[in-house]
Amino acid sequence: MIAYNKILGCLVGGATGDAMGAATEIRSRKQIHEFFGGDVKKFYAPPKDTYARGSKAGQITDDFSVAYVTARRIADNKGVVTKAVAKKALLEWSEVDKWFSRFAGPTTRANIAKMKGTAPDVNKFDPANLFTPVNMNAQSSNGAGMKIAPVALFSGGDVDKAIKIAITVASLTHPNQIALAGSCAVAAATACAMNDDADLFKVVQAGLYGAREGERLGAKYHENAGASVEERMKLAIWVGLTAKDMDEAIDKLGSLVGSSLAANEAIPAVFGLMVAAKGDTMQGIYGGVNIGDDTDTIATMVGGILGALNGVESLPAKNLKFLEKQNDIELEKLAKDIDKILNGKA
Amino acid sequence: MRNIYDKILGGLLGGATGDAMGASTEIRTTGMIKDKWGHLVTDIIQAPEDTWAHWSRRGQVTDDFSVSYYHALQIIKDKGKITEKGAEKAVLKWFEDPNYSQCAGPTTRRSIARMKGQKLPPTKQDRLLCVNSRASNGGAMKVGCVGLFDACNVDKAIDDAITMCKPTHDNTIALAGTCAIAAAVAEACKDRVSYLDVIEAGIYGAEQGFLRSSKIEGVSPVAGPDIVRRIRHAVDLGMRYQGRFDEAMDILSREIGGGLPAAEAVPAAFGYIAATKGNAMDTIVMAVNAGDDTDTVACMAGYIVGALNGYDRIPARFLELIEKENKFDLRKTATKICKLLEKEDK
Repeated sequence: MIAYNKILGCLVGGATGDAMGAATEIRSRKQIHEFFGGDVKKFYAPPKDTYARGSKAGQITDDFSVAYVTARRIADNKGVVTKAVAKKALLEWSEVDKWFSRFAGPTTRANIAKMKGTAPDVNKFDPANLFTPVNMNAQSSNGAGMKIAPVALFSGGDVDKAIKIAITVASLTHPNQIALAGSCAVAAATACAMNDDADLFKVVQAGLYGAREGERLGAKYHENAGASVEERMKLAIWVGLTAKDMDEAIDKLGSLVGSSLAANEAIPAVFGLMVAAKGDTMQGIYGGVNIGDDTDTIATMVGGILGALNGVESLPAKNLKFLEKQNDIELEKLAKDIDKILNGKA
Repeated sequence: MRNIYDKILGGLLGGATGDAMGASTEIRTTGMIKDKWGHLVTDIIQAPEDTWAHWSRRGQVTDDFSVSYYHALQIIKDKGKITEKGAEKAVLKWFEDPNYSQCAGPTTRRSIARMKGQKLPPTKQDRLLCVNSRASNGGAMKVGCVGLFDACNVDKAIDDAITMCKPTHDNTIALAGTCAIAAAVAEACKDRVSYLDVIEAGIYGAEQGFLRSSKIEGVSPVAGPDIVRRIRHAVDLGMRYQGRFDEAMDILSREIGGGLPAAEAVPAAFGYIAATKGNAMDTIVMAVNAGDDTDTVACMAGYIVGALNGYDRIPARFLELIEKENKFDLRKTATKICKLLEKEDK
């Protein structure tokens, strides 16, 4: 039996992190403080000099939107996760202008174009096209992790099943061991968090297991050169555990571990922040929102995992309706459908 | 006591050897390197078809050392003065060679178009406050020569490094990494220095490079890791694994990484120096085999350990091969740099 409030918590937590982080993305923590006068702890309309310019307060970006569409279509498929369903959802999402064309990252964009057969003509003057590189190291990005927490709900709390789901879904856009290690870490942590007896310690250990498994299984697709997600997670967890308070943890994680587009920075930062926040949902999300660089993606992942761990009560009550309204999405309905699938009420 | 000429030529030869040797391993992982050649690469060999240096003959350097060499020639022409104008001239001249221009990185390429007054096609990034991906290692890769012209003068090397690299890499993190390398090379030229002094100078260079460049108009802030913190961490790891070459290389590559970001490549270089106690060929070979952006890291680290140890710690056949295949006169260049240094002393 999976508690409904955990399912809904994962969805509202992810959407909260994404929408709040949309305003701080690409800034350094110092620039966030200069612009907003301190740490950001509520929804702001994003400034004009960031990706989400033009969005209203509370609007999500690519991170949660691709997760939402994917989870929605899996629910419509009675909870059965297949490559075909994931691909269909991805293509459907890529047609939504407000999410895809404004926000999609380079790796997702390139691989969707390939799927659609609309990859741009090879530019013969681009030196990258004069040879076929053995590795595409820049594709070890966090795009595989950002979308996976809500999708991992379909594991019903089974960590190994969540890893399998993550590989199925995320290998469509990010078929390399580093991006998939990040994705599996988030998926495994989310699955673990759904269980009644879950606590932060177990969640973090599941995350490390996920990273290890993701690296191993992902290597079957392709091995890129780059730092290991698992190794950097250990560093981040240590930083999160030993920092004297949240403020120090955010600074130290941002400056040592990093919080960029790279999966081997963003996912370790997620785990460091969760530990530093002692597993508190909103403290963890605030950490992601204010760490700097790819804030919205990090906050989305933290929110998804901790929302599942602590349930929807751990988020401000008004967030659900507000986020549904601002984004024209139905989180409650999706949570109910997932609940029916997981708990045999269908 | 080592002759300054030995150190200046050592710097040039170390940088060139790292680049020429790393050209064959670039973008691969350590595992892929071992799979392909059956062992670690410890010689200058032909680069395979599926990597950036696919065009090169054995012994040819890539963008890293070549652009550095062009800068050195320009500085000699300018009688040892390092100016922004001279730097722009050197980059433009270098870019005329199709072999080199085809391997120019994205940040360098964009700056060259700007210098030439070409209008760049508008991108999504134009309106952004910071473009965090531009915090690359492209400044650091070419700056080793500055440390030679400013031999023994760490503070001047830091200022000159900013002047030389600002036209292409005008952000605080790229410049912090750049100054770390320049400062370390300048320190390495001193008589009776150890690898520990050189590491300390590198940390000082990173710290000062960040502070000084952030006060300069036209240098933009970016969100990303702190190079000082990451160098310290990499050195920490390197020290812990001294005397255990394979383990040191593995942990540094898994935890620090050696990719395109300045915040990976520069700390990695110092980690290898720490792990090998500054041994010239051990440092270069570790950088060449640790994976990812190997030629760049090996070029930067090679400049430092070459100057630290003197040219005779690098096989003489490399000097001959590199001079012949690239039509470089490293010996004459070293003599000219020494003459400029003598003049300064008088």
